[in-house]
Amino acid sequence: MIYNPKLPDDSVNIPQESIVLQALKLTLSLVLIVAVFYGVMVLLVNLIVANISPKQEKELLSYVTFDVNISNEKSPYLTEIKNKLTACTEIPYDVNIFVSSEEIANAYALPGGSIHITKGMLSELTTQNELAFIIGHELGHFQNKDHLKGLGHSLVLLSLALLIGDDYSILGQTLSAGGAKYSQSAELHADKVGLELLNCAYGSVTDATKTFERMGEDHEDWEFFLASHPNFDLRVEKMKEIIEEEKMDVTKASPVLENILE
Amino acid sequence: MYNLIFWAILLLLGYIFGTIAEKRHFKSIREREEKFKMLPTIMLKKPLNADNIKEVKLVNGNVVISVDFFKKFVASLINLFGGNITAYETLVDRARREAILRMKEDATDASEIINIRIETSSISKNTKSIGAIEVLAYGTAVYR
Repeated sequence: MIYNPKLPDDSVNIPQESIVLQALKLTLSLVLIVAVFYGVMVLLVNLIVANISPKQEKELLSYVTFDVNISNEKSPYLTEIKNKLTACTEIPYDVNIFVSSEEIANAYALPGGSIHITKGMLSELTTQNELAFIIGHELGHFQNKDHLKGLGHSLVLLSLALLIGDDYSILGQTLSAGGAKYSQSAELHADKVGLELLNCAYGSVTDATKTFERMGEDHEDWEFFLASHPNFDLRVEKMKEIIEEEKMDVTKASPVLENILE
Repeated sequence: MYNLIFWAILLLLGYIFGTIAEKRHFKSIREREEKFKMLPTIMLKKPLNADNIKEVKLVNGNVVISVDFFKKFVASLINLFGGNITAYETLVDRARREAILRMKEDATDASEIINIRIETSSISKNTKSIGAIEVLAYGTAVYR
């Protein structure tokens, strides 16, 4: 027997296709499939939410609990302003309003009918109209059923992540980035409702844009890239357009803001 | 958003360092294969020539190679669609050739290595961690 030395043939066991090309092809296919599925499911959720009755909504939300800061307190002053605004809405259930102890300036509407305004946000405000607009904006989310839509979209996202096995929550991140545009348009719509409620309850929208104008000075535009909220400059611009279009009053002085933080 | 950027950076670093490491490794493998070309390594149980054998010895070569973040990502994508995980094929090829080379290095003065066996196992099967492959090559070195 003769031993004939040969080196291994690299073309047999080493794949010739570029791994980057393969990764690109697979990623694009996956993104396409997931995007189409997610898009269809989101449309379906929006359709269901649009046709859901207040009774069904109440029943649905009785299955859900939200872990919010327990120290959140009800405030009679905020409730009074909220009542003034809700008189102008068609929200079919009672909305509760709370002050949250968080220092960051924020306000949010939670499924189940509760609005939470942080102490940080309250300390930013200077007039009652500003506060009423913030509450009106959150009421706008309830009126547009954004909380239910958000819940439905998260559910779709969660099922997709579980289905595909999203170890690094990349899928969730990518889709929420994709959903950011949708979320931003929902925010602009809630701003519009906020203005309408303020105009209806107070007969004027003086100072409504002041909070965002101030907050816009503290933030850079890039911070809003793919964020759930549009940048403050755009929000102010859109609000001013609505005020002009709907000929809302901006001359009547705003009522004084009571300091409820002390 | 920051998670996404962090993940993309990890992926890029995985690709850059993984590719550099792989290229270097293949270069070293080819050079050493050329060097040990004249040492017959065969799977027959008996030597080619049974005359003048002075000594026989068990020799082995063992290697553990880790998969990089980029390859793991590509493999997880293929997991969804099915097909050859080509990203891992180069890894297995490197590990197998490196193990054989180390075995040869363990038997530098031998006239041949017979009865070669190759075994493989995977380390850290946990999906959250980066996987690694172990290849063990062993055989009988024949000295004349």
